[in-house]
Amino acid sequence: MRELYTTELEELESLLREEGKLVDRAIRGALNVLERDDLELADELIAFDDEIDRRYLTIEQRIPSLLARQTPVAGELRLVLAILYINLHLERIADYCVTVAKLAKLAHGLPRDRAVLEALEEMGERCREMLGTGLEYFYARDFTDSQALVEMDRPIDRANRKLIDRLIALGPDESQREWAMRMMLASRCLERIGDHAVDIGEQAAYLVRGRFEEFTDASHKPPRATT
Amino acid sequence: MEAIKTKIDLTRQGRLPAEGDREAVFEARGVSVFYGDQRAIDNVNIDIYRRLITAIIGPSGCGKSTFIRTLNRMTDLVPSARLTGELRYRGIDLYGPRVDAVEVRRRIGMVFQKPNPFPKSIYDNVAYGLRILGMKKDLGERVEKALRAAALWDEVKDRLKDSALGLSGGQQQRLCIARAIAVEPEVILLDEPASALDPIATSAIEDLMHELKRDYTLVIVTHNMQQAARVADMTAFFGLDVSPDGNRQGVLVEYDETEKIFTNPSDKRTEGYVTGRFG
Repeated sequence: MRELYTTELEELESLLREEGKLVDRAIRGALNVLERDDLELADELIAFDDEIDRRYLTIEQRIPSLLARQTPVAGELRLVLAILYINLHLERIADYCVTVAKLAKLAHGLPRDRAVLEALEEMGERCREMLGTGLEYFYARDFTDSQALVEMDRPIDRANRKLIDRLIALGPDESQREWAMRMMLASRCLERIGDHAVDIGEQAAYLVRGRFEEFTDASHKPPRATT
Repeated sequence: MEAIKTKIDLTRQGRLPAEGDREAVFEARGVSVFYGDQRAIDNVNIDIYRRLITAIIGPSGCGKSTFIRTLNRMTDLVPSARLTGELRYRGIDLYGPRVDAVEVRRRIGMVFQKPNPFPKSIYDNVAYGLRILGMKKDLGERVEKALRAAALWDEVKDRLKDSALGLSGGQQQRLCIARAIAVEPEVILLDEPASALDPIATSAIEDLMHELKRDYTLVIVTHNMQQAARVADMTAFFGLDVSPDGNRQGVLVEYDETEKIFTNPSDKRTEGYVTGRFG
């Protein structure tokens, strides 16, 4: 029984790894859709979400069964809980990518602004980096540098603010207003993806340390890094 | 903004009294038990707290039962058994020269794995200890009180004169608990009390333990880890240690709040045992 149980845990983690890779592709796809204003790619990306959902649902369904049959405890309990939450975060990130694709479709053909697109690209790349780091903490069972994730999130927040300033500046120009509003929402999606990546890192920390702590808190200022 | 009022205390972690508010009933310091030359348990240091349920878990042969038996001097009944170190019960040296082992066993009752009612009526089983101890005043009331506390009264009140051997296994075990409670002990030791029972009877015993901890200190030895996780406030994990001379002895590996033992144990050996990876 023990062997079967170990296999089931390993399979859950493998599924999560696959999901993680697919979600990274989804973020890259979303950035490409924005950059190229490509309708076909946008539809592809929306359809691609089914691939991610299949893994998400499989994990989601297997966990209650595993809990009921094997009653994991100690490190294994924390692993199962971490997988449960990370799975949820990955699925949310994928949904934000779909929203970006839909926004891009709505904004298709409207006059665009180079500076805004570059800022979005910058935010998106940072998000991918953060997701990779958060997942790596989990796979390696290592969270020694929890501040790294928080630090990575700051440029995203900064880029997001700068972008909003730029978009507000575009606002009075009626020909660009609709596009700007769509991009404002896309920017918000990317910013949220960064937050989910931090949450994934928190789950990795929980798995290793055995107690849950938030790296940052939305209602309080994050501690300033000493430089 | 005004804070939302909640009935649940958000600042409290877990359901246990804080560490400083726990009152130690037993204090074991460097306790070792020998059977002849064989050391069965080695150098156990533990505080067992008042009105909490403490579970002792560990693999076969790790000295769980030996340890629980030292708590009411049942080991005295094994001629070759010997205890070293210090075991205090409410501050008194339990193995001191002036301590009466019979009085110890009245205050610290025990319930065994296999229900062992006397071949007497239900009533006489519960009244037995009371009569021996001369607690004959209000005998009927005391018997009823004990049977009620053991959650058995409603099932047996109309057949108190029937033989206890006619009860089901689960009822017999609750009768043994009633018998232990009747003499008004302070502590109840339970050595695998549910391992011979079906899940429904087991559940009844676990509910009963939860009720009893309002008035008693309970120590339970169990092989069933989920049972420990369900009922115990504190959990002690005993492991097996092989000394250089080849002697296999039980040692206390880890002792902590049950929640900690089952979510984030500190010792790798505990983790291995509770997850079933080894042990």
